[in-house]
Amino acid sequence: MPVYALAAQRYLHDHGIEPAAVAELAVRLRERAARNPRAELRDPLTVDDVLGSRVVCPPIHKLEAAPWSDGAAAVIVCSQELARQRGWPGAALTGWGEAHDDANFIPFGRDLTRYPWIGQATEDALARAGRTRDELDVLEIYGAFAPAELMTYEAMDLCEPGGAAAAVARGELENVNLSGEIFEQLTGRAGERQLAGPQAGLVQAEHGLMNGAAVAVLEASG
Amino acid sequence: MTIAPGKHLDRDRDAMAREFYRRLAETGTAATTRCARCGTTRFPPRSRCADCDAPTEWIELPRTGRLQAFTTQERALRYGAPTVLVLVELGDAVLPGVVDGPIEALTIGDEVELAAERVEELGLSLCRFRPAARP
Repeated sequence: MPVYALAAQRYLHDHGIEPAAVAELAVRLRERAARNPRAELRDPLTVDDVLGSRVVCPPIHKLEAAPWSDGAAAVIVCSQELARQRGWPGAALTGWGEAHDDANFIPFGRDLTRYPWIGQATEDALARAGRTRDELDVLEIYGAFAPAELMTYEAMDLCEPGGAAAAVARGELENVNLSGEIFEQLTGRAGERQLAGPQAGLVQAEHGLMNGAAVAVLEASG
Repeated sequence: MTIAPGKHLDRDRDAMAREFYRRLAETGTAATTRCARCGTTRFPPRSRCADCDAPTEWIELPRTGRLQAFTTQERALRYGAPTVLVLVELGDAVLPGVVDGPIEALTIGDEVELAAERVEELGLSLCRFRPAARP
């Protein structure tokens, strides 16, 4: 966690970002979670709640940190033909990318707020899928901590460096991190949270200590 | 006590780490490697350049540098708050270390001086920094 905190401190410092702007992300993500009956934490939050929560690792507050959670997931991979024969709902994997910094641990000596490997994995996945960012209807992006998530948006070129917190505060990036339900969205099963006919989605995950990233493009398979 | 080779480290990297700690303990100076071909300095030290794969050479880093970033952790095996975890720009490299708290006394860019700290339990000297003496 100190690694994320060190990066977060530089992020706030370098771009003159107010702590409240980072806290705003946690508030907005909780609003989405509140609408999802399967979300773990659903009580509404305010910016004051976030900034008033314990500073676990300065400048990161407890309510800007992902909780410790146990979970499980299963993915069934099959041909589109078989899924259609059996009537299984499915999304098509049309693009993927993976990239890693050359440091096997923490990339000391770099700009702590930039993650070019996340951008590379994103570019590779979009290129394979033949998609552009503008064509993505829904994105699910990993953020262990709110400041890291904002830096990840920037690394993926969804907004300019230092601009993610302001973009979130303006209510932009509305199709990012709806509530962890990209598969449900692309198969039309997200209930009251369902977007109107999303065709293309993107998921991003981190590995290592923000020094590697995997990205996949998923598409509705009508 | 000796450092057991890490499962994920190849022998070369282990040797480079041992050399770093040997120099720190014996000279009180931090060292790292610079590529003999492209001149890129990296930390931690490596026998070959990650950019161009050429052999590297050891260089001594200055003893004073500036705080790149710092934080504390409330739970830690060794350095919990108020001890501050720091990244220090030392010449062309950035090194992790610790500084005595409180964290409120520090600012990004503060000048700090390396004061290697012997930790008998580990059989190693680690990078502790102190605020640099004002001229």
